[in-house]
Formats: sequence, structure tokens, C-alpha cells
Amino acid sequence: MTPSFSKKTHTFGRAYKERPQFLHLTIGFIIVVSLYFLLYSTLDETALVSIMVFNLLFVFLTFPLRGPVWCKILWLGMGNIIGLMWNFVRAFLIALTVEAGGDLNVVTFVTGPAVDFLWMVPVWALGMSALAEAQRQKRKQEGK
Amino acid sequence: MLILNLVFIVLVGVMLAYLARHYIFTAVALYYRRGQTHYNPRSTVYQPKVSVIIPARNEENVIGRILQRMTELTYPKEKLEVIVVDDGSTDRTGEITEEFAKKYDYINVIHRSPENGGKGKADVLNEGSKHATGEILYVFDADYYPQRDVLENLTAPFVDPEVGAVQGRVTVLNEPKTLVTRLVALERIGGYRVDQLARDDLKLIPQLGGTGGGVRRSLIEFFGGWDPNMLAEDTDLTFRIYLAGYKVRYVNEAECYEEAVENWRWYWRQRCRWALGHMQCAFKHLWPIIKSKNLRLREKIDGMLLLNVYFVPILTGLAWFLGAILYFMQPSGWITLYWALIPIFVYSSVGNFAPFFEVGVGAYLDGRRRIYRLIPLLFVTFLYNTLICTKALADLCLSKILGRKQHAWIKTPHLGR
Repeated sequence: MTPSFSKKTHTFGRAYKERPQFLHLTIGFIIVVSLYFLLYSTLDETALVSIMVFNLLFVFLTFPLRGPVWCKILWLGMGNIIGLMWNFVRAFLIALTVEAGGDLNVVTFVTGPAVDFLWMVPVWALGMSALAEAQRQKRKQEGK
Repeated sequence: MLILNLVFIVLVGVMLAYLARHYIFTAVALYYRRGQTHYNPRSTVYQPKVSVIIPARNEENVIGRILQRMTELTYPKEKLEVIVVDDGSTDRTGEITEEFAKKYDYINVIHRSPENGGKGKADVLNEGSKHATGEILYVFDADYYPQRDVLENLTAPFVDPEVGAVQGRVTVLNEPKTLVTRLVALERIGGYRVDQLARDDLKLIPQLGGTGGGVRRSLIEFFGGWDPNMLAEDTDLTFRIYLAGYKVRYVNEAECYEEAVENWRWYWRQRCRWALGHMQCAFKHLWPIIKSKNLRLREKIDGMLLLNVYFVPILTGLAWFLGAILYFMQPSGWITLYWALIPIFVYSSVGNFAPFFEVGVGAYLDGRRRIYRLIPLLFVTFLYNTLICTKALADLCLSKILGRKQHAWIKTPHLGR
């Protein structure tokens, strides 16, 4: 007897290409430049660099994609808030170390920008997830 | 100190090169529309006789599934030949295959005794190709599950006489099973939907994946078969094809589903084999690529980056270590700045395991919604792969010192779930 097998699979089809949303990209870029000038005088070099790395990544990778601009701005803002919060925590830890007479180099190294991926990548990934969900809702409403 | 600084700068330069490569690939996969000619099987009347070789060693859990699928393919059966090479199986693989062979005349089985079997995939493919009569030889692993029209999609580009081989897209069949299968699915999305597609669009070097792809039989005969000394026989064949003046095409819509490894132990073993095989290829092909007259400059650059991709996790680890030393020994502006950028470098330097933004963009293009949430965990696989690649390099160096040519082929078990 010949065994019987069946599997349900999903097909992705021909490689789909996007049309870049230049207007969204411009809006995002203006926001990021404004944020830079806003934060320039208030943050230290390390915090500013990490937040700007996130902002540029987010703007160039997310804003040109299809999807509502409000969703992109919301997640860009969310990333900046989380980045600022993390940098305050970092500053607090450094201050605490100085107060306790610890090695400043070590605490700067451990809490340094190398661990920024802990907030950068998850925020970007959640932003993409939200964007994809918003796209799906839009298609659903349009009945596609 | 000067030497340490120089080494550090070189490492950063290497990572920047890979970073640029990944960003270019991502942008190309997203927006670039002027790629190569796309051969639509519905408008291309090219259907030569093809042979599908299925290597099988103790695959009783999955062999029936793929053979059933072979009977459901839409490619004309009079132009199809399926050759199962039962590589000395000690389970019911031979028995199940015989049942199919009795029922369908285009399915053939070659049995090898347990003493002759187990010498690696290249050896099995060579055995299968001896019996093949098709113009194109396709290789499907036993755990694969292709789309019904996969052969039409894969065969269409062969209408171009310059095309020596074609690779289809590989996606994960058992994605929801475990965390490991989900992470492998992420890697696959980045590797195929973005990397392979971009390489094809830019006329670089799309890589044969060892399964879900095909090659002209005449080329295999010209090469004298697959190289049994290579653990990554697919990568080796890719470069032999380019060095011979042919090219490889990637077809995104030719989809095949694979059973991904389900735990970290098998992930380690499979990736160790891939890393070792890839490094073997790097030593074998790097110089011939540089001096080849059959490759254009862009292909040479891509070829070099592709061949060295399994060294990059090691180099990244080294850069971290060196960066830390320099940071404590001589804190300076540019070292601090580098520390600020290192997470991006790390994620961008994971090579063909795909960095986070490639995976995210690939998932977006596939219309996925939830898988993004696992992207941060790619860092775990990156660290794991750093260890894997380091061990593979150590093994390779050891075998070079000992003059050992043959490496043990550790087969990945397939559960058919």
C-alpha cells in the first residue's frame, strides 16, 4: 500500500517590489533632524549617537515602506522615548558608580552603547509588526 | 599598540564592507525593478526531460511525503524521472520507496549497501547522476516538500544557454514547532527573500542551496561530478559553475519547504558542517576567483564576500575583544564612537544568516505580521554561530595540519512532523 501524505503550505509567489514613499521619507527625515537639534544640547555624546543611529535606521528602513505615516511616526517616537529612558538609567548607574567610588570605565563599558541593541532592535521589530498589521487592516477594510 | 590599532581598523573595515553589502541587498530586494529577465514558465515553452535526484539515508519519516509530492507535480510525467538513492538505509526507507517505484514507472530506486553508504551527499549525488538521463538534474532532499509547479518555475530560466544552474526558494515547513525552527525560518527569509533575490537582480552570484535547485547534466559531466571531499558541495558547485563561465539564477516563486532542525544540538551539528564546508570552499576557490577571466569585477567582489561569510562571526567576536582591550588601554574618540556603532555592526555582520533588518524587510515583503517579534533573538543565534564558526575553523586547521582530506558527514535527522 502506498502511504498517503498531505501538507498545507502557503505560497509567497513572485518577488513583490515596493514603491518607495518619498513623502513619508521626507517627513521622517525632517522629524529626525528636528530631534537632533532638540537633543543636541541636552544629551551626552554617547546617548545622542545611539538615539540618532536608531532614528536613521528607522527612517531609512521603515518610512519608505507602504503603510500609514502616523504608525511610523508613533513607533519612531516610541523608540526615542525608550532610548531616552535607557540613557537616563545609564546616566544614573554611572552617577551611582562615581558616588560609590567604583571604576567609571567599567560601568561605562558594561552599560555602554554596545548594549543599545537591547532596545533598538526590539523597538524596530515591533514597529515593523505594527506596520504590517496596519497594512493588513487597511486591506481588510478595502476588501482585498 | 600600533599593530592592535591597525588590526582593529582592518576588522572594522571588513564589517563595514558586509554592512554596506547587506544594506544594498535590502534596498534592492525592496525597490529595484530593473533586474534580470524573468522567465515565466507560462510564456516559456521549454520543457526538457529532467531528473530529480533524492538522496535518502534512513529517511522513513519523510521519504513517503516527498515521493507522494513527486507524483503530484504538474511537470509532464513523460519528461520526468525521479531517482531515489537509498544510501544504505537500515530503516524502512528502501521499502517505502519500492512501493512508489512499483506504482509509478518514472520513480526509480538505487539501493546501496550499508557498507557502501554514508560517504556524504556528494557521493550519493554522483551515484544518482550516473543513472540520470534528464537534461537537467534537480536535487531535492528527502525532507523537502516542493510546490506542485516547482519544476516548471525552475526549468524556465534554463532556456538561456548561459544559465548553468537554478536555485529555488527554501522556506521552513515546521516553523511553529520550536523556538529554533522559528529562528531558522527568520534566517531563511533573510537569506532567500532578500539576499538571494538581490544577488540575482544585481547579476551577482546567487548561491545553490544544495536542495530545491537544478544544474545542467552536461556541466556535471564536464566537472566529473560533485566533489566528494567538500562538505558544502552546493557552494562548491556554485563557484565551479561561475569559474566555467556559466551563471546561477534564483527563482523566488519556485518554492520548496524544508524541515528545519528542531533543537540547538542539531542546529550546532548542521551549522558546523555548513561552516566547515564553506570554509573549505573559501580555501579552494578564493584565488581562482580573483584571477578568473570568466567573472566580472562585481561577481568577484560578491564571490569573495560570499566565500568568507562564515569567517565574519569570528572576526566580529575578535573585533569586540580587541575593541574592549583598546577601550581600556587608550580611551579615545573614535574607539568610543565605534562602541556606539558596534550593535549595528554585529547584526549586520551575521553573513548569510541574515542581519535583523534584512530579515524584517523580507518578512514584510512576505506579508508576515507576527514573526518580527522574534527578531531580537537573532542575537542569540549570532553568538551561537560565532562559537560554531570558531570550532569549524579550528577543525579545518587541524585537518590541514594532519593532512586529512575527508571530513565526517553528520546527517541531520528528519522527523516528518
